[in-house]
Formats: sequence, structure tokens, C-alpha cells
Amino acid sequence: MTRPARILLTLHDGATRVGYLGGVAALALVTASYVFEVAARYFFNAPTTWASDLVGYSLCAGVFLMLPYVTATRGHVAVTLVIDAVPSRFAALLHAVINILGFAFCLFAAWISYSENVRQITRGVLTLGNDPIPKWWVSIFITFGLLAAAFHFLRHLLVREERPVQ
Amino acid sequence: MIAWYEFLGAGGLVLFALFLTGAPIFLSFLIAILLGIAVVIGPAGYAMFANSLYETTTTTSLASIPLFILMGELLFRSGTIDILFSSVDSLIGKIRGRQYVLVIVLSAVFGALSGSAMAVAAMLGRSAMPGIISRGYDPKLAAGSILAGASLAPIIPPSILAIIVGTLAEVSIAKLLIAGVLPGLMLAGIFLVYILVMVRIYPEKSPLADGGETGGASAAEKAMAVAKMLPFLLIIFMVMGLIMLGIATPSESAATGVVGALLTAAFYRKLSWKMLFEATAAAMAVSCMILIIMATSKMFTQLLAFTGSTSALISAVSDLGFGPLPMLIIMLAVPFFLCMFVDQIAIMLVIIPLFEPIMQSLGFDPVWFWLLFLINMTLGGITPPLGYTLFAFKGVVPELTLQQVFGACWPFVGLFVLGVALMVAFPKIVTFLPNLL
Repeated sequence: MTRPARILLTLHDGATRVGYLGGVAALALVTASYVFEVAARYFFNAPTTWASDLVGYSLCAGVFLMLPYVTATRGHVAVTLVIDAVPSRFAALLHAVINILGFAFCLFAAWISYSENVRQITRGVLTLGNDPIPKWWVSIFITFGLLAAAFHFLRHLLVREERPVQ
Repeated sequence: MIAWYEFLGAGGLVLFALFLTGAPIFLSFLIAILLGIAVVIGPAGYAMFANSLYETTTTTSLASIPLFILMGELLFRSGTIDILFSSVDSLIGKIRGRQYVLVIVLSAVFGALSGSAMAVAAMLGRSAMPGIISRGYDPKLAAGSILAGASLAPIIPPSILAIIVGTLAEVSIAKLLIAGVLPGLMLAGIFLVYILVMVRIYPEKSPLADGGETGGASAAEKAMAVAKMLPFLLIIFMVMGLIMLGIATPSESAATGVVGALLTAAFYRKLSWKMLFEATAAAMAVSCMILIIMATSKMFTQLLAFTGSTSALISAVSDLGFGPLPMLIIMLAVPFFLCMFVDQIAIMLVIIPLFEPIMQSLGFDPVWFWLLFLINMTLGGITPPLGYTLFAFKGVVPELTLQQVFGACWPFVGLFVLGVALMVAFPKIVTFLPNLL
């Protein structure tokens, strides 16, 4: 493997690792926001305006930050009834086709999301929450998740390795 | 413009072909939806797709999915669930078929603490099954009891499936969660009656020696067992109690349930940073798998409306001229059979947008209908040949063959159908508690 390729793979693994830790932090934030909201509303009669918005943003960020890790570890739900039953050569072919499709369509979806990010930035689109923020601050995680997942599909196709990402 | 039946036929074919190739479910939806947009709407629809990803994953009601999973993860990973196991064990007296009864009661209790049938099946398969086999009980009846009991988890709140169904069908999630309490308990009762009848008719299925081994706890031991269960009652209160009292929404109650699980683990000195991190990471990873499927499939509903499939389907169903009961049977039978072959969540994402307008046109109570639907989906998890709960159980019980596990399920599938029939005949079983909210 060439040095630039190794650097790219290291960067990709690093991004996946950061996403994994970010996903954990996002779920912790969801929990803390809701608990704070219930306590503030019930005990102090002082509901927040931000907790619900923050939960929504954190959930979106958490899902797409965790997506590269789940893809890298082949953790997605799949119906493997047929692929488990067919001869190994045919199964390998099916896996290759799935990885090609995964790379192509996740990359395409990432491009769609990126185009939407650019539109949101240029038009100054805000979220619809109680305390609006620029929408791309949240939707950028969608682009990140899909893009990094696309390259994991490519790596499943090209590189035969068990890659630790944690 | 593509005709609605062409869209449904071609779209369904592409989607199910992709499922069967072993492609991740989220990828199958992603491919089918992007192709669908290209054919039906054109490039202008791609921005709608990006927004559908955003809208789904910022839906706050869906935050209860990672939170309920986290609550279960904390209890299972901390080992506090073992305390509950031994406490329930102490409370069940000397009765014939004791171990079968134990797993059903444990399943109902675990069901109130976890929303995942697979987690409960794996946990009971790993912890209870070896003891059951070594004591000479019938492995098939035991396996069936565990699998049926584990299937109560998605019915008794907290329930991940109820949140997904409620979100997709736009039904009150709080009502749908609470609606599962009485049906879940009734099904547990039906299973217990079946087991007691079976061990009466076939005494060889339950060794006489048992009961003397572990069923003879003293009054003091039983009092201690009850005391040890109190922190778990706190968790149940922090989930269901807060919803019933109107203090918290289902999502908020899931977060308070997480706090309850943390307090319970801390009370039993089983809380550590390492366990907390691992539980949170596992919960987020599992939630990512579920929510990414929901996000990529969201545009399906919009494509249905765009092609006119929704209105055409309603008029096609109306033209059939069937009454509500035959329609109900068809609408429950379709997902039941599909769930034997395809993943539950994938089926729900396709079928709920199709069933929602039909259900409304038939005038069914939404909470009642969607709870019956949810029970049917749960049943799909233990119906051979492809039930995820079956495989989760088989994975931790290698001493049983897949054929034995399959054979163990069928009587309990029949009992589930009996339970659903009772809920159809007596809708109050489902609607009584939600109507109190």
C-alpha cells in the first residue's frame, strides 16, 4: 500500500473514531437535556425553550456521527437468509455487488446532502426551533456520515482487513 | 407520470430483491428511494430527500429509541438484572413446571424494563436455559416459554416497536405504549395457563424433584427478595408512572428511566465509567441502525402520495367490498407472513404508510388497530423460518438444533393468535388504559 493511501486510510479511521465518540456524546446530551427539562418544568415550574431543540439536533448528529462506525463494523441490519445459503463464491460476488452499490449510493446521497448544505449556507436557512440556529450546523453531520460510510463500503470492497476503529 | 400500480409493483420488487441479496436494509431503501425519486419526481426531488433525512432524525419522539435501549443496556451490562432474576426466583413457590413459570414471570418483568425481545431472549437463553436443561425439563417447552415470554418485551412498555409504529402512523405514542400493558399481561397469563395444563397432561415435562431445590425460600428470604426488587419498581414508575401522571412525555420518561437505571446500578455498587461508556456506545450504535433505516425510507410515504398510490389503494380496497372484520384479518395476516421472511422494521416502514389510510377509511380505533399490528409484528420475530428473536436465542443456546427451536415456537404462535382474537373480540383489553390518559 502506498504512503498517500495509508495516510488517507488513517484519516478515514480517525474520522470514524471521532464520529463514534461524538455519537456517544450526543446520546449523553439527549439524556441530560430531557432530564433537565423534566426537573426544570416539574420542580421549578420553569420549562426551557432549548431542551427539545437540542434533543432533535443531538439525535440527528448522533445517528450520522455513528453511521461510519456501524458501516465499518458491518453492523447494519440485513436479511442474510439467501447469502448464508448460497455457495461461498456466489456469496462473495453478492458482497462485492452490495459494496459497490453501497459506495455509489451513499456517495450520491452525500453529494445531495452537501448540495443542500451549500444551499442552506448561501440562503441563510435557519432551523424551525424555538431558538433557531443555522440549519447547516446540524445537517452537515448527514453529509459527514454518508460520505464516511460510502468510503467504508469502498474499503470493504477493496481492502480485505479487520480494521479496529475503536 | 408513472401509474400507481407500476410504482408499487416495480418499487416493491426492487426493494424486496435488494433485501434478499443481503444488502443492509438502510441501503436497500436508499437505492429504491433514490431510483424512485429519479423516475417519479426527477432531480428536483433530491432536496426533498435531503430534508427527509433531516426531518426524521430530528424528530424528538424518536429520541426515546436510543434512551430505552440505553436503559436496558445499563441494566444488562451492570449485572443488576441478575439481582432481579434471583429475587423473582425466590418468590416463586413449589409448583410443578416451576422453571417454565419462572421464565414467563421474568419475561414479563424484564419486558417492563427492556423494549427488545432479542435482548430478553438472549439474556434468558444464556442465564436460565442451562439450569432448565440440567434439571431435566423439556428443552422444547422451555425454549418456547422463553421465546414467547421474550416477545412480551415489545408489547409491555417500554417498547421500541411502539415508538416506531406511533411515529409512522401518527398515533399518540404515550397511548400506544400504555395500551400494551393489559394485552402483555393477558398474554403472559395465557402462556402460564398453557404451561400448567401441559405439565398436568404430560408430567414427564416437569421433574418432580424441582421446587425442592430452589423453590423453598423462607418468609424472610421472600421479604428480602421483595426489598431487592424495589429499585426496579422505581425504574418502572419513572417510565410508565410519569407518562400516566402526565408529568413527562414518552421521550422524557425514557430519559428519566435511564436515570432510574443509573441509580439502581449505583445502589447495587455496579456502576462504573467503563460500563457507562460501553452501554451508551452500544445503545447509540443500535439506534443508528434503526434510525438510519427510518430516515432513508421516509420519502416512501411522499412518493406514494406523489404517484397517487395512497388514494388509488383506498378506492381499490373499498371496491373489494369486504367488511371490517375480513379486512382486519387480511391486514394482520399480511405483515405476519411477510415477517417470516423479512426484517420487522423494514416491513413496518413499507406497510404502515399503505395501511394508515385504509385503517382510517375502515373506521378502526387507531390505538387498538396499531397495537394489534404491533403484536403481530412481534409475533413475526418468533415465527419460523426467519425470526430475529429465534436467531438471538439460538445463538446463545447451541445445544438445541434450529429445528427444535422452530418446533418449540409453534404452540406459542397459536397462543399469540388466540390472544389477538380475544383483543379483537374485546377491544377494551387494549383501549381501557389509554382511554384513562
